[in-house]
Amino acid sequence: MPLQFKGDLTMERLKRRELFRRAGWGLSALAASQVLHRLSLPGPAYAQATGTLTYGMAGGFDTLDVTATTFTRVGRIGLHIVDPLVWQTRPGQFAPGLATSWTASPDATAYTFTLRNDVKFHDGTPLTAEAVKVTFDRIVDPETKSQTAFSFIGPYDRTEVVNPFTVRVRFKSPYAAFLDGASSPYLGILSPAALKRYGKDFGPVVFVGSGPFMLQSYHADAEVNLIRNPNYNWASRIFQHNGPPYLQRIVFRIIPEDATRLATLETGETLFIEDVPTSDYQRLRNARDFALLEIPQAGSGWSVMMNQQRAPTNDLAVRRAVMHGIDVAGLAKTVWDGVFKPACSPLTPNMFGFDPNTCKGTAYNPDLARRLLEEAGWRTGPDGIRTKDGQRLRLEFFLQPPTKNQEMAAFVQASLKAIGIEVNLNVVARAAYLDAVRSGRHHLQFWWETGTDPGGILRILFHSSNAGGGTNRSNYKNQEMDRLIDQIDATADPQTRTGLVVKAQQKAIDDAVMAYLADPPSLYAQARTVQHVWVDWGGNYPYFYDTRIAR
Amino acid sequence: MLRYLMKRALLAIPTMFAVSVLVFVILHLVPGDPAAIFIGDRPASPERLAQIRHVMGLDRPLLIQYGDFLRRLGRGDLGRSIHTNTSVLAELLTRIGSSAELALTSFAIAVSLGLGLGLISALRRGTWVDAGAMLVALGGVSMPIFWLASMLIFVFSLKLGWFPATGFGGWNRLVLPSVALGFISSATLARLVRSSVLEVLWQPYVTTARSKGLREAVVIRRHVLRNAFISIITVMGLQFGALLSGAVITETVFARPGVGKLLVDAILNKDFPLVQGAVLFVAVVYIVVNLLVDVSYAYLDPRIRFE
Repeated sequence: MPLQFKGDLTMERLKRRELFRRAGWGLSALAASQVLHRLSLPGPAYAQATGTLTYGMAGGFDTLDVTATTFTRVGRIGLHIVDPLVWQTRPGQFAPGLATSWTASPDATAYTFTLRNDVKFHDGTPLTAEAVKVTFDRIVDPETKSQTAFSFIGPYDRTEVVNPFTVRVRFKSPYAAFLDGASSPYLGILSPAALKRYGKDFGPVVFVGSGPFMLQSYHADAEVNLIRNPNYNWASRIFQHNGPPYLQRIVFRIIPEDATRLATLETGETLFIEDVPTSDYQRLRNARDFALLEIPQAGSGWSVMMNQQRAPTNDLAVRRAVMHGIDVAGLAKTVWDGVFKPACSPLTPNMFGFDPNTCKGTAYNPDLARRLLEEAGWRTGPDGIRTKDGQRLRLEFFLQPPTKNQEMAAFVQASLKAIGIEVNLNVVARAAYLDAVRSGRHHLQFWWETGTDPGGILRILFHSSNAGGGTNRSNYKNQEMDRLIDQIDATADPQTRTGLVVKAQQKAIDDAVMAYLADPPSLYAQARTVQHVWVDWGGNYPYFYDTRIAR
Repeated sequence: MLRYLMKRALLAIPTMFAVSVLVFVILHLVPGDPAAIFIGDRPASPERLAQIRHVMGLDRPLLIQYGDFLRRLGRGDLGRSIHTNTSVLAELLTRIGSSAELALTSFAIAVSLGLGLGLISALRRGTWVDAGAMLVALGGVSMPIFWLASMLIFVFSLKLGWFPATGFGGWNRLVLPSVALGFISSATLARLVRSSVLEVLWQPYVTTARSKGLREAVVIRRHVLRNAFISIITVMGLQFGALLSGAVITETVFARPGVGKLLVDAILNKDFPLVQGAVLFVAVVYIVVNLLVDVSYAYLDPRIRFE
């Protein structure tokens, strides 16, 4: 076997040289790789696997089961093992995946998918409508303890098998965001036979889908080994080729320490790493052997939620002062080395429905912040901190220990001190943190959210059903906002939807629900030999189906 | 001797029982609902939270939960992690190998380096050799392992390319983490060896041995080291336990799976079955190591008998 493999590599090298000659040496390396790619399709040499991609992952996770996990990392691995029903190419634009076509009912409560009839799971069983039903029913089964998938499947009611290759998914209330969820790895379709066979070991030990790579082995906290699926022949047309992937193997290695992960890229132990520390951004940008992949992350950037159930953040003037009182440009530069962009809205600029005009209402303006506080009766005391009716303007900020959290919080603390607000930092471990913020003992706490559907993000942040211990830790309850979010979820028409998203965005800024700090990019780094990595527009899922490693 | 060993093995049972009760009580006293931690920052209605709590079996009375744990333990089943659904035994087994190889090699480095440095500095007391050896030991005691580990990666992986920076499996992946961990642990040992040897070095029986005309090497080996070892071996035992279960930072920097990291994560997640399983494992390690230490006393000092 090893000999045969070596032979394949030689063939690959020869072919490559030949093609390089044809492409002409005058072309730049990038252009060459593009041309190379086109010339080679669907050349038989590239049907051969061409090596192993080692991926440096920034931490461990709970399970490999995408439908149960809460980790984006599991989605990154899982997208190679399962296929989604549809792929999302741009905000709100979908292309066929396992489903060749689909229709939505006018009220967005039912979606009918026609499935491909040539798909086989890694265990050899065929994909049928029943598999979709089993996968989705399992997500809402409490025993699965599903997390991310559970939020993506929304107000799921049931799945009906219309015929072996047609399936209808029904919701209890209108759910226009379902295709967005269905395009994520978390609603990828699983093999019912494998689910039945492996029971509780499905996820922790085995994981069976129909994707271009198959799980070979998983060693918790160490590595996940994927091997190419030689039978794969149902790639979405959004990719550059069909048939088995070019890579023989992908190894996801778990390397939690930032500096170590970066070192492995430089030593060649890994070829691709995630979560590049911003402090190394410039160095890598100028590196000869490495390339940075910088994709603005979709969702809601780093922000501060302000608890409206507690004084003094129940006072609109205080919240507006906080919103205008934080030097976000300074924060992005100081804490995030200028790599993150100053934020101005609950939605990142690449989100569907984002309106830059609304951002004017959140600009950094310490004079305005001071004036707002003065007008609301908060007078500066002898130590520079304001008081009103004997109450000191002191805010309790609860946060978890990671260094960047603490740096951001210290920056916020210093910014707000300049306008007469005292901030007390409570750095506590996860259990105590969740205890404090769920029970509303905080005034301030951080939030960050990634996702590609604006309705889902706004619901998490602002809907009253998520107040009182849920994700809306601002404890903001507003009927108009609830109505707007419900309408967004029920509206499929893009134009109407945009209008609603803009309105909700404006409303959140008018009511000064949160203060927006920084919009992060997803930062990956790779060896320059790695070519054709596809990343979803939301920046979260690098996908190595078309990827080749140049020699 | 056999009777002594059997007695100690029997005594281990109540010790482990006490450990498990203590862990169970402490975990439940610390604030934080495991189901809420599990949900974290995901949206979940109160009903959903209650469902998760039920699936995790946390809605049952504490005594019943503990009774269940004991019953399962009796069958050799440590249960499943409430967080990952993986069997606790599997979670432990996938990490013990990596932890054990790191502990053994770093222990070997710690012992040889610690004994060497300590002995040399004691025998050459007051000379520059002593000062040099103790300076190295001082470095080991005061150097944060995090820094040392990063420096080792920088020099030996990044600059020289001699060893891989991360991972496990294969001796070359073991070198850097073992050196980092071994060097740090050797420092304490070196200082202890030095003071213990110095204490023994001027005892009348050492002078007697010398006056009998024994060679210096024999005097050191038979009379000095053997007597100094009683206190040293106790610390060595404790160090081995710590290397096996508490090498969290080293494991994190070098990206190795390990029992220490598993336990810390389990505690942060309040994953009761996993914490119980991991703590029981650590307790067994300490009990066994203590036993070995006690047995070695008899070998080192014939006045100590077990019957």
